[in-house]
Amino acid sequence: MSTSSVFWTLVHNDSRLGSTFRLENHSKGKFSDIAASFLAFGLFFALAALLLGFGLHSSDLFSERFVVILNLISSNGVALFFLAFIPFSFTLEMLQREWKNGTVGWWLSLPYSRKLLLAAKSMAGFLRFIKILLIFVIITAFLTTLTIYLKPDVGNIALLHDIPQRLLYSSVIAILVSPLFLILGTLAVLEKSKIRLLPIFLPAFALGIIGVILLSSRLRAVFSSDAYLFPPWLSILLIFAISTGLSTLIFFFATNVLEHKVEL
Amino acid sequence: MEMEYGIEFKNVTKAYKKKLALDHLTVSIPTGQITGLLGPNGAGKSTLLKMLVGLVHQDEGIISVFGQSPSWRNNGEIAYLPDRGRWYGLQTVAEALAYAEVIFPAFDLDLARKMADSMDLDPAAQISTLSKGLEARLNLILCLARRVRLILLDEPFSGIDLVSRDKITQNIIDSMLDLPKTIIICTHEIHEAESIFDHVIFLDKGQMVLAGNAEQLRAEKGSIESVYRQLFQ
Amino acid sequence: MTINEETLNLQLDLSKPLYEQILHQIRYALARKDLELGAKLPSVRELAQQLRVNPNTVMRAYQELNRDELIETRRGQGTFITTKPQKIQHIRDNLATEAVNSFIDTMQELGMSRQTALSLLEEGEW
Repeated sequence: MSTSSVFWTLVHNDSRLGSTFRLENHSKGKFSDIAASFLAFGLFFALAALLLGFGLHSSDLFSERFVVILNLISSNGVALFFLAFIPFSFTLEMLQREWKNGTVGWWLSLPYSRKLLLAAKSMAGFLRFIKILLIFVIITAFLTTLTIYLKPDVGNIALLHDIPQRLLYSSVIAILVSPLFLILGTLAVLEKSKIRLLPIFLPAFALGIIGVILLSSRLRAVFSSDAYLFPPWLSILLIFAISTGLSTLIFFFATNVLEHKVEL
Repeated sequence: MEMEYGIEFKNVTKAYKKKLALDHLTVSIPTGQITGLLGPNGAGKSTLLKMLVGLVHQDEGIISVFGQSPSWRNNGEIAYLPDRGRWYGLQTVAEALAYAEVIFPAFDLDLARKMADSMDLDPAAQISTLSKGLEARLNLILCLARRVRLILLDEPFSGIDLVSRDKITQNIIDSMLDLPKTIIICTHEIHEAESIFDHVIFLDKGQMVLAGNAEQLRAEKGSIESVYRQLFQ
Repeated sequence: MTINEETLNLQLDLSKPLYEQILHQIRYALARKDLELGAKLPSVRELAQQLRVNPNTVMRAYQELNRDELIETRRGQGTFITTKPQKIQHIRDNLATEAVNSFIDTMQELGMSRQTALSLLEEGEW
């Protein structure tokens, strides 16, 4: 069997591992991912839209406060943080599942490079993440259409004007930085290794995550203005380059740890 | 009978914190035979097998598996059944065999299907719903259906019902006739399994206490089970 | 006649070498005429499965029986008992001699004289 078919078969199997958005007894991974995403995000946005609708008909103060909250969530990388956390948790969980499910003996004795094994987990995480992000984007775009084009003259809608765009922007950034967070998830191997430097690594990487988020919002502030939906190509390229560079380093580190420092 | 020793441990030591899993262990395992690896809990049997597939690295000493150092690179020729190993519960039996065909080199899918049939495994059954005995049968198929030259079984009989044990034994016997291979079995069920051993190695506290041809040991000392009792009581 | 589990009923004692027991019990079965001349023996696989022993053990026994010309392997057909009655006779004689020697050993261990042993033999239930 060719390496690529092995890789994609591993990816397919890995994407069925984990229960982040999953009902325990569900055997069809694809279905429950999409269903759960619709549920989670749809509920959130429906609630927001509902409250907004109510707020716009009742006191101005209420709706103002609500918009402030939404503003906060969609700016300064908060939304980005949550969107970035998802791929991280996916890879993390897929890795931990091998130990939790008792399949790690089979997995680690496979005759393939540790790079391939971790890459498959990361790819599986990436694909699941893209699925969920797509749903998020669709819902956001739908609500944008609804609020901007269908009821532009209702109450404080103007305050909401920027938020859907910023959420979409965050989604794009999230995809660009997702490799970094996916690979960060593979550092779960540190937990299983003999390395006792965990107290050092954990805060170091937390700082790294914060750094990336700050960097991306800094760049956004520098390169874009309010009217733009997408920033200029330079800032995208820069963010992508930094995240790819960092993820490559971390990937090699994690692979090394898995090969030499992890034992059963 | 010309005996070739394909697997050799020379002065191998492995320490876990304060405990010595293997203590300057020197032992050789014959090629093309079924070797029983016996000993009390903590004797180092599982550690020995894990070292052969590179899941554990030794602190000292040399391990040679058909002339090579253990590594995942050689695991294409080795089938390993982990102790208390579970398979991916969300797969069905049929999916597991199809998956195995892709990720295990030299996996014989036809043979695996025949074995699954003879072991009464329903291809549509989800693995998480299987009983311990049935899951053990599946785990064995995932190892025996591979055309490899070394098979490592860590406690294949543990906690398994009698009928499953018989089926597992039968399939090990068939497997030896099918293609000559080296099989190492760790087990506590000595009475059940001893009749299939060619060679026996007794380990205790990380060292080899006794080793030899099973029939010869029977001639000199009696049943393997009684030898075990003599050594460890 | 194909020999199955009922005709070739081998019982193995794990405290003694297994291949010797298989060898001995088949020889005995042949000598007692439990097995017909030219009958087909179970294959190595079948017998190993039936007894739940390592196939090498069965192979060793079969090889020795082959050497004694008590059985013969025919390519593609299987393993068969010899068609020569002299071979069976030879085995019977050997086993009988073994039994006699064993009897004599026991008698000597008990301190019985040849005279006493012979009269015991005469008085025995034939």
